[in-house]
Amino acid sequence: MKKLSQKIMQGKTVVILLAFALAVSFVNLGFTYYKINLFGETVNLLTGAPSFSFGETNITITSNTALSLGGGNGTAISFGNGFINASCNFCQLDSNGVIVSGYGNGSNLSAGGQSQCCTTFVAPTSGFLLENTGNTNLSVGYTCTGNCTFASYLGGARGRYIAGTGVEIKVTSNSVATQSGEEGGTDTSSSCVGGGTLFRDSKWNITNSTAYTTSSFGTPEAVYTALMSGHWLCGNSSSYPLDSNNAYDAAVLDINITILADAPANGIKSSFRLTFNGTSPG
Amino acid sequence: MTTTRKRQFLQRNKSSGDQHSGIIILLLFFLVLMSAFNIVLYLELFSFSNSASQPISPSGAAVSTAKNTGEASILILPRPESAQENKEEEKKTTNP
Repeated sequence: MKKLSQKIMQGKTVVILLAFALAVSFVNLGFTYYKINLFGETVNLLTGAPSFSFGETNITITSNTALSLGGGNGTAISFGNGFINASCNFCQLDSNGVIVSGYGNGSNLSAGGQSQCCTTFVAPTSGFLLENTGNTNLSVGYTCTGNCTFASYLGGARGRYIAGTGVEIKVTSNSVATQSGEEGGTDTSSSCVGGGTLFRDSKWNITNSTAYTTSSFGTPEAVYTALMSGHWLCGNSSSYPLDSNNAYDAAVLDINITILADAPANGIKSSFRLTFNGTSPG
Repeated sequence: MTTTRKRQFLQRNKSSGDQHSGIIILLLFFLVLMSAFNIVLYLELFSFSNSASQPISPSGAAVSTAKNTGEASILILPRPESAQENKEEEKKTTNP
């Protein structure tokens, strides 16, 4: 009889313990579900800028990497269509609006009547306006696709009349170029100047050097150099000197081309595409 | 205690034991169910934290890149006189 009573007591104990375990498990389930929901909501808020919440501690990292491309021509520069007058050797067009006519008698004119050689070609009055519109420092580079060489973009055999390499680029701080279209007004001082320890790696510099911090400058600001398949324009993969401050966050990339009188006219639009990359340290 | 009363007592306790067994099985079933739910939730939490930990990069090793593409185009047309020449050339070829 006593044994039977003990068995009943043991059965009750097991039931109580199981009920307790079940209650603990249920509370745990609810708590975990609540935490996952909280975490999920935090993650859903992410829009490129990482922001995380873990329990009682909040960590918010807000960095926005943005490089805008704008200016008078937006994302397209068109030199129009036309031909070179038979009495000329070449026509030179610059995206800063300058036209140079190279006459057959050897005289080159860039003032009134300059379009005589260039006929209906157009010299745009603005280049590609690059601006750091994020809130973190950037390095800037480009890659070129399409007809990136003189031979493929324009062509022609009168090579002695080509200015430079025939298809060239230069970068100028917008405080100097003063092209309109910047967010927050035109720059008032030079961009890509880094500051602090970045100062030695600063200024617009068209280069392919990977050891940028110790190498000499490639092509300094406002100087033309040949268009290639790609270049760093400001900083590199480890140096980010283009500040996001509205007073010095932009530059203009201009394009200069020389169309020779014997450039092949195949009736097909020739173009190259420049993809500008703004890179920031995570 | 008489034999009848003993029998009645044993019968009552037997049915009580059966009841306990039923409750224990039910509780065990719910406990297993809860544990399974918990495991699923933990797995979800870990997959969340793994995917979210990617862009944190406190060391600053990762980089972010913004891209924009611009195009420069030109169309070179045939010079009118050469077009005329070509036409004449064509005429000569077709009508000798």
